[in-house]
Amino acid sequence: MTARAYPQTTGQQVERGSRFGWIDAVVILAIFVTLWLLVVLSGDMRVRFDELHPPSLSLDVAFIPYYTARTVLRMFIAFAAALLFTFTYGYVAAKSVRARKVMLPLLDILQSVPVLGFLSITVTGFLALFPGSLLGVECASIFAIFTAQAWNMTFGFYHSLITIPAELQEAATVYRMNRWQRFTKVELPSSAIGLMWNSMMSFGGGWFFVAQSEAISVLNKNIKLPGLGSYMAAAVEAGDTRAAVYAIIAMVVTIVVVDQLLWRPLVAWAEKFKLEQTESKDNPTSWVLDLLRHSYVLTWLSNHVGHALGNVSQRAALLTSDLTQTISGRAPAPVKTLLRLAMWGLTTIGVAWLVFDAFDIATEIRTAMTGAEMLRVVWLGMLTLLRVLAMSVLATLIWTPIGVWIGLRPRVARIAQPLAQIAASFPVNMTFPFIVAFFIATNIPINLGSVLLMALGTQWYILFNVIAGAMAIPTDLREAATMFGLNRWRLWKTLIIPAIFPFWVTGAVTATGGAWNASIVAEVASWGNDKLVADGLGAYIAQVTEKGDQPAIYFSIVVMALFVVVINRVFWRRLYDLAERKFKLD
Amino acid sequence: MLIELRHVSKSYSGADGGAPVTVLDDINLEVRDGEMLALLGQSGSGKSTILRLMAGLTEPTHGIVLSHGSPFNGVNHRLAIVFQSFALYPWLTVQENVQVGLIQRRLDARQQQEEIDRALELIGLTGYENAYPKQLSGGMRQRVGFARALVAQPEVLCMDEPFSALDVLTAENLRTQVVDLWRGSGHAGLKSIFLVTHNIAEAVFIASRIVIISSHPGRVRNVIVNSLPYPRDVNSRQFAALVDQVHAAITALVLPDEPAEPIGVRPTGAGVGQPPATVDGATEPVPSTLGSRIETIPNAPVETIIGLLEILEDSQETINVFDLSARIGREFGETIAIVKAAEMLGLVDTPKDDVVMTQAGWYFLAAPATVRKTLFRQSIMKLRLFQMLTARLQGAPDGRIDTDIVLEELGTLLPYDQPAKLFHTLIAWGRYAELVDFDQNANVVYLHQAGENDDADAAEASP
Repeated sequence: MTARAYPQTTGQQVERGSRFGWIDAVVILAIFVTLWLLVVLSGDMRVRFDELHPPSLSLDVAFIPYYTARTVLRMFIAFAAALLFTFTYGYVAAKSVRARKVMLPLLDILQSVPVLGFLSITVTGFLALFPGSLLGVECASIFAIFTAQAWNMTFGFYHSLITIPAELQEAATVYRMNRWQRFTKVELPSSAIGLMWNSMMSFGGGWFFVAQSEAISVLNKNIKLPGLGSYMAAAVEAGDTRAAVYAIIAMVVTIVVVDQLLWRPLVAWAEKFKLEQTESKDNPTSWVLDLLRHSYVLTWLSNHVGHALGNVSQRAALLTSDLTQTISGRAPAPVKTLLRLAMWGLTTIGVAWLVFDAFDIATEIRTAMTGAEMLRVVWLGMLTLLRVLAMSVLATLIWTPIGVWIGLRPRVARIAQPLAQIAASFPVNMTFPFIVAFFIATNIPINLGSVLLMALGTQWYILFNVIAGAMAIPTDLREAATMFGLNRWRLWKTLIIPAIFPFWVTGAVTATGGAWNASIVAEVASWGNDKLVADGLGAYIAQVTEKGDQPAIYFSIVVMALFVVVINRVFWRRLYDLAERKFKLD
Repeated sequence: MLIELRHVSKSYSGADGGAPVTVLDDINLEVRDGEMLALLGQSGSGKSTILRLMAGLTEPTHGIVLSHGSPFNGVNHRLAIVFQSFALYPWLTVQENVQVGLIQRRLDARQQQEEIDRALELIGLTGYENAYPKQLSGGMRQRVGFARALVAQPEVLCMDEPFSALDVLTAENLRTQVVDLWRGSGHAGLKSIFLVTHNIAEAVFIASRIVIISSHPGRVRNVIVNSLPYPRDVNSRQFAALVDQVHAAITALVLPDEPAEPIGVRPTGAGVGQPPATVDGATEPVPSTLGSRIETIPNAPVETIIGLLEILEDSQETINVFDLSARIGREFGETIAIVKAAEMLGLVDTPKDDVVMTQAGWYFLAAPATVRKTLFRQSIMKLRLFQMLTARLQGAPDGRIDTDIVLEELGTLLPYDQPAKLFHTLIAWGRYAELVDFDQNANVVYLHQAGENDDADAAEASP
């Protein structure tokens, strides 16, 4: 052992800020501005609201920054709610084997319901919750964004919890950590990296539905909340090209800024939670994080806040110890039976309520819709399915070679992958109006054109997963292929396609899932007074939601959810198993 | 008596709902006050399970675990564990990791700091308080693990193969330190040490009492008292003699001079080795499953068996099993598995704890590859397990059986083995012998299709 191995500077232990620098001025300014914005904007959320005279939206370009701020605030509130949901739902599912059997399939189903579906079901409820105030509409909108973000994060968190190495958990048990300590010291840090990445992706997924959530045109209401999404919707309705372009620019800038100022630093910071015990070369870096580490203010804050939180955590730990349970994590017997009874009680009530509700809805549908109409809905579902299929095939054929080309060249990949991720977050539906104008001008039928629209939003998932797959091909396999003189076709057949297969499956599942959701905005596209409606389930849902035809809404959403769930089970599940069994590279 | 296991058995339900696997069978074990107890056994013998039973991390299927004579609920808080893979939290500094051990002692901040400082000084890591585990070597990480265990002030310090992940020099260093720790005024309240290991020299160096357990299922076989005085000299004659004693105990256990399963003879009430009882002058075939114990196949790939033969060929004299183990650089459990496999196939003999090549072994080694396969096939067909397998395959339609059925039957026939591992070895040997094969996609086991080559090989094979 060499004499006193000094800890290497890896970026983890860069010298902390010890003096006031210019960065501190920036930080202090940023903190104050954020606080001021929060106060002002949240005040604006509680404005008086009269349903008959909804607030009007100005198309003046000067309002864009304000609208952007409102939208960003909504996104973050929704994200906070999604995070809370993730922690509770994911934790319960990970800890209880019995609950897991119900909770995971339920999550699967929730994931297959389109965002617009959630909105239409809950909007009247939220409006009734806060009568006379815009807050109700805000809640509905935030809830819609929440449903776009939450499910994926929950799955990811659940997965990290159940893959924590056994010895780490055993050490926690032996050294008598209680539930709170275990959560904060073991489980949360272990899942930190996955959580950061998932959060980044899920947050981005929320942008896509911003327009739908803010320009609420459901159930014959037409409410436009102040925000970038409804600004865009208004611009589209009015046919105002200039406003639409500015809106798109604002969106791009916002996404890049949030990515650089928030997500990249978080992901780089989360590297300290990596479970592998060796330093790797390809750590994600963030110039913002490096800058911030030099900030005296932030270092001071993190030390003191860290200490304070630590003390609070200790108190909480002692409290929970004394209150609920023995050290082994098993509650004393009477508490346990009580909890179990309560759970059973709640579940039965919940299930009963759902069942009765379902019956009500079913009868409503039966009376309102004829058999022929129901069949037509299913038929429309088939058409949309065809489009989703066409999109995945085309996207695979086009982007796989490109993705592999990029992935095999690490320097290109380092730039291209984050770009592809940003592209995936960018709500392409903002550009639809221009594309639709193009379609109208060139007489391209929307039935075909909608495939392009769907692809624009979701093909990026296939791209950056294929890039990741190509990057993961072990060098020695590639070298062997070169030595044996495999030609291009053989190389692809023997090495590349099998190696990227599991990654492709992940990308394709996300892309097709997103495509179903996107069909609602892709199959009905309008620009000014022109409206193009394709034949498909997405178009149907959009139309009946606007009209407020409740039975039709329920039925069509159920049909779409069924399509997604069935295809998941029958097709994607098999492919996943095949990928695990035959193509895993370890 | 600090901890006691009384008639403890532990079974796990088999993977995919198969037959349950019994890992431990009727274990009676105790950790006494003021001793260092070593549990010696092969990997997979359930020694880690015994440790976890003592700690209360898992519960026995039968039997009872006692602490100070009475049963306990949940985790045994008089215990601390040092783990094989260190189990440090990568996001906590050395200081914070050691602090985890103080959780149950409820001290204030100043006292905690004192304890941590004292522990770090004891194990030699002062100055490293703010280092992260990633920045430490393996030996240093394990020292942190020790510090964490010590600050918890346990009565019994349990160690689960604590040095197996370290290089030889660091391990030796730490071993001496552990012994000094226990002997010296050291840490308050520490009464005994419980060490789980597969390293014989380590057990003899550290322990005052050595318990040897067999595997599949785990059973306590021998208890050897080690009364060598501390500090122990690895090079002394007494040390070597004790190591030999342990060797002998283990080999008698694993490589018995009497085969467990008489090959080719149907056992009857008349006794093993006798010809079957005759009725009216004609020999009556007795159902072979009556009262016979099928011996399991050790997990040894074919090329290691051949490699063993080649080593024997090169060496001039007979080799001792443990020297062999040191020579090929493998854990003695793995070495014994290879030797046992070779013995089952009739390629080597194992008088006492030596390994000697048989006539058949020399012949095998000299033969060309195709002939080797035929010889191998003939050898494995003498094993009950392969006989049953081929009989089943021949009886099945198309000579194919679903893998899950085979696994289930293996689980029933050999309840102390992991069916999946056994299956793996079965198929590996079967494929080499070109006897059986396995289709992963269709998930079936099938008989190897006979080709034209087989007759030529058979002709060449006869000596």
